[in-house]
Amino acid sequence: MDFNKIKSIVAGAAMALPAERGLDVAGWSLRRIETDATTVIRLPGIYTTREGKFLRQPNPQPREVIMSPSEEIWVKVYGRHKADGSEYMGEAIDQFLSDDEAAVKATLVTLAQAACTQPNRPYPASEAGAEFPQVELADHEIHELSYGALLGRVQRFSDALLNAASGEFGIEVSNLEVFVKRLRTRIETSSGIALEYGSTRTDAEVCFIARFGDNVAEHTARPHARRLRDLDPQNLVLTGAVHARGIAQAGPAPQHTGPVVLTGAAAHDFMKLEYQPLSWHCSGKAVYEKMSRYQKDKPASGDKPLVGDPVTLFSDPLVAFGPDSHIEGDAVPARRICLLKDGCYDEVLGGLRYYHYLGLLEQGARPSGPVGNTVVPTGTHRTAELLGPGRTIVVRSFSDFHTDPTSGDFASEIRLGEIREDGSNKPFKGGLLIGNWFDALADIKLSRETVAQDGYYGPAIIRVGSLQIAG
Amino acid sequence: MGYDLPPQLEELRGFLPELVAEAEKKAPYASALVTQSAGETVSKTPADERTNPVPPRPGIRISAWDGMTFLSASTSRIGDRDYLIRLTRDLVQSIVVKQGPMPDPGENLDRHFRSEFKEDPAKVTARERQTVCRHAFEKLAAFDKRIVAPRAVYVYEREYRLFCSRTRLLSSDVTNVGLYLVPVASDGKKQAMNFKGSLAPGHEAVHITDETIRETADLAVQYLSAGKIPAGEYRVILDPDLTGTLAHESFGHGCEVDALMRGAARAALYIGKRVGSDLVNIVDFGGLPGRHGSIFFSDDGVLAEEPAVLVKDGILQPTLMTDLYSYLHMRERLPGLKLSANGRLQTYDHPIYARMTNTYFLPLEKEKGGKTKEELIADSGDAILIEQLTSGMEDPLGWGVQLQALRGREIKAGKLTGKLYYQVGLTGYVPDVLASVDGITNELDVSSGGTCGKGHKEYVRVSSGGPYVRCRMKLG
Repeated sequence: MDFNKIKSIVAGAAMALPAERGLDVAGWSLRRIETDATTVIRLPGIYTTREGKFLRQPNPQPREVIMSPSEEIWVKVYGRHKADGSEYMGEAIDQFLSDDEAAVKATLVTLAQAACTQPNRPYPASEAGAEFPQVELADHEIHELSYGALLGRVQRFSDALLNAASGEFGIEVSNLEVFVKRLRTRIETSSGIALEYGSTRTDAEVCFIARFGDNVAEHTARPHARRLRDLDPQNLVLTGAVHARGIAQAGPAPQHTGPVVLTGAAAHDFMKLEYQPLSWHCSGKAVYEKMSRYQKDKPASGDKPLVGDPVTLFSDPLVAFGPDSHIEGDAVPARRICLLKDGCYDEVLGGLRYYHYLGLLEQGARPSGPVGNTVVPTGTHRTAELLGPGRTIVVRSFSDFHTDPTSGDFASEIRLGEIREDGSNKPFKGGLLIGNWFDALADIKLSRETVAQDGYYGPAIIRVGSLQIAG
Repeated sequence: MGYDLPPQLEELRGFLPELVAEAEKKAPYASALVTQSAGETVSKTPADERTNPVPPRPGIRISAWDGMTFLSASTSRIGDRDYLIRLTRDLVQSIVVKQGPMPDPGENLDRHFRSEFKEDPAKVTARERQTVCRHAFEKLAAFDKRIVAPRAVYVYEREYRLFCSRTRLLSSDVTNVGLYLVPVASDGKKQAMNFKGSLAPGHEAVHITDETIRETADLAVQYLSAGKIPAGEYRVILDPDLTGTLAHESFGHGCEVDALMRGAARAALYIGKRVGSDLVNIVDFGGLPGRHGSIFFSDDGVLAEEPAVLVKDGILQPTLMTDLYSYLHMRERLPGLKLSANGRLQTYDHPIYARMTNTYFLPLEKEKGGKTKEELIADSGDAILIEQLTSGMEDPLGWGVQLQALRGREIKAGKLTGKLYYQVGLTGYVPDVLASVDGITNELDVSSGGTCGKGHKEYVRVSSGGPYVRCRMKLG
């Protein structure tokens, strides 16, 4: 499809629609996404069973190799209308299937009609003269490779990972999937924004199985990175093997009420904006619709007295090569914003619309743009201090951690934990970790040691003062 | 011709055999799959009302089998025939055929399928959808001043699929309509959310009563004063959606053959063995008409004509759920294995895996001891009735299971006491949970709808259900 041709048709038709159809187009934006994706799926072994045991036969050939060159062009239309003496606004979005003039115009009319029936308070459609940040999103090493060369690069990564795993006692890689995407995004808006940038994404899924006699367990690592080289095969195998072995050798979960230490993937899940309730409560929409707990400068932990570290948390889309980094979202420049400052609510997540509704634009604030990486400044505590003397319950990973966004309550199955006592570590699995995310904020201690994992940059170890484990 | 497909797909349907033939000049077996969407969504919240077409997201996937591996090319450029031919030639140009299992292309078949509905959703105007949403929104908002943020969403999705192999040319036009109500309540300090979905293939899905809307809002308000359930093991009665999700997470994911073939499903060791009480009967059936997970054929081109019986009277069956790749590699290794209609993909540029469709427990006939819901509650002594699933997570190797529900209702001496618990997590060891199934009702309800991921990705639409089932689980 010819992007420039579509742009020209859209611009002309948007100008003509008020006279031709009585539809008042308040603005439009076009987005073209060219994707060149490569997927390689490997099942390194095929298993059968005999006499109650798994038998493995090597399977050197991939399960599937997919090449996906694609192009999508999207259009968003803002419409205004008046009813009962008031002015209203709406928006609608769709994808073009061709650059044929009649088809482009038909899509535009459909969207303008949809946008012009929406009884929403008016808001600015886009920001004229917006300046976009420079953020490193593209892996230059793979961005320009031919399809064959990229396939070879993915193959080398896969082979390195399988070789590393072959040296781990009792560990097998049962599934290895690598998804590499090279993207080129172009945006043009009626307000004059013209932006084009490249980006890459590498996602993997690696399943490690640990077998020790009758004790068998699987651990799945799902690393995400902008650069293929940021996925370190050795490190993935090392952490994956430790985890899978731990689950295979784990006993049942204990009953426990009291401090719980979260490390590694569990610390990541607990703090990551994707899984915890803060992004919901700090969203401009939730604040404006009064369904949020957000109160600027008030403690997020509510009435609970703060006895731990005051937590500060940023949504930061500007981290170089961060998995959750962005240049823009909906043609709004990305920026780092502070959601929690010393345990208190600070800024709000949102685009032009809700920043306008909340009066923040008028106060000089710029909209936040898209949600970014989760960045938590470190605490002052050393690991040994957080693990503490005596009996300590540590959670290393969850089956599927998430909180109820409204209440902050959670009850999540523990995939791997350990009881540390008298210098020994006793792994356990199963049982539910129960608590409330906001209550937990009142009594939390953060390590000095940091971790950078899948869009989380923060303390590697978090000690929560009081949680419950139902074993 | 005349399948009521979008013009681009109508033309493509006739062209696909040419593409497959081009691929099979070098590959021993090839197929093509095309997907495209249509429809409209309308939503209303206090600050936002939206009406938006469902984006078409068209795409084609051409797959060639070399004896061991599927080599695939996919693209959104479905309208450019010359490009598709070039892409196909590029795909197979360097193919080296290996000694390996070969697909049976089956008998010749040229069919088109379409969802059956009572009220055609394509004939409903945007204004009518807006009216439905506005009415539900206003009823939710008017219920109580503590309902601070009601949301009503009307979703009409139309999913077109074309499949072509040397012998098969299949197309389908599947519709799904849903009305979703999400009231959020707040007392100034605490927030709570309820959820209600009503689904069907046509506009009939949205005809819910004002009383149902009020009940949905009322529960959100009740949650504000509901307690947290004391952690521990309980006798529980699961509603049909939770029952189906227990089936889905236990011997649904556990019976996907691609999990067995990579040694990641303990079920492989238990085929033909007991995995639950006599009351446990679990099936997956995409051909169940008009459900959210229903399909007419799999993305491997297998017609959804026969249920995959996974557990029968508590015994794990060898039928399992297969995609073409895992079937080809496992058919010699697992006697009794069939190629089922479970090969599915998230979007045209993703891999095909063995996936579920509609997964459910079978009810127990009244003559064999199946009860009504009321009888089951009365028969349960002290228990918790668990309702309104929010999520589930599988562990096919470790046989753990995690379910999340919005509420639990206390049952004392066979009677509901009116005491409500908000946000209940359920877990247990699958064989223990299924062995503890000791009560079941006599009606099948497969009316839920959602998506299922393979781990945390590859989402496909599914449904789950069954009767009410009584068992023991850990709650918290």
